[in-house]
Amino acid sequence: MPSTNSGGFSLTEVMVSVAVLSVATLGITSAWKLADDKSLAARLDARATRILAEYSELQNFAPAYLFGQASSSSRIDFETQGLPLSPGETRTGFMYHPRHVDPTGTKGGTATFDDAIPYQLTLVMDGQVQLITLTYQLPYLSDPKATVVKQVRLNLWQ
Amino acid sequence: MKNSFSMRKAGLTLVELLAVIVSVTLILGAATGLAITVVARQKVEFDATQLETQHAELANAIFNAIKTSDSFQIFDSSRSAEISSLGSYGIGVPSGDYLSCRHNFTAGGGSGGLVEQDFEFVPGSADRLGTLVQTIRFLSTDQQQIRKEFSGVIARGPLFSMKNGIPQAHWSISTTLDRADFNVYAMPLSMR
Repeated sequence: MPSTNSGGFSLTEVMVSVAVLSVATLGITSAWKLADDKSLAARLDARATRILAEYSELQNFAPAYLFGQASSSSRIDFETQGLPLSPGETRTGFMYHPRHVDPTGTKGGTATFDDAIPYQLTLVMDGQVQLITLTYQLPYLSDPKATVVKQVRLNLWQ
Repeated sequence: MKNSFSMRKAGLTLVELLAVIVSVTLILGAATGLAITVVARQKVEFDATQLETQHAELANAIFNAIKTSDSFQIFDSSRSAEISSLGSYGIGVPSGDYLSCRHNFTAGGGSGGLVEQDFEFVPGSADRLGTLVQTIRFLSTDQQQIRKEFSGVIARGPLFSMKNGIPQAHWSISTTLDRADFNVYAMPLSMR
């Protein structure tokens, strides 16, 4: 019996070692994925803050005649760029523009980017207070945890 | 037999030793490959984040420069801006690649200083790809100017404009991961 044991590992021992290695590998891979996800979340958060800052400035300081001009288009594009939001208005855009990868797996040129992670920007009036709300979904989580809502409250000067 | 058993207890056979070396080499190779991939991925992430952070700071600098300026002007290029004098900017354009903002500082004793912050888009070899250059000039003293360069700029049109009567700047950057857009709107406090 001892001679059999000294000949090599038993099936149980091999299975246990494989299981331990698998758990370690999964742990390393998921930590790596978590780091990527958190990095993307931080980048999106910084961009959302920038978008809200842009619109805070527009809502506060844009000339009065510009309000209500963009209601024909809900997309944030060249036409609506720089126009303040009207009460109840919603505009959409994209938070993330990853480099385009064609089906063969090669990356596109510097000018080729895709549109990903759409966001919605809405303005709600509450008396003299304007509430700008930006909503987007984190791609690696499922609802309701995936929904990110950022708001800025503006007290309009008289 | 007893002799052979005691020899086995003394160490590994050549075959066992080779098997161990091969196994350890494979494991170390796989671990090194994974580590290199992780480091390379982190470098790509770091470069993208660093470039975006730099340009976010630049956007903030442009915002503050316009917001706190006593006067500002947009020019086609640095050549057009050169004809402006200390007292007056001269004629500007509704949209262009050169923005100049002036700030009058008056110290407590009454002696003042004129500081100019300029932002210029300098195109590179490719069309509308280039560098944004920030220059701070101390016009009333001999203090040396401060110059900062921000590379990787994609400009789809003139960088600075007065569209809809609001001073603004628009550009994008191409990072190692994606494209990031920057839009600055700033109404000078003196224009409120």
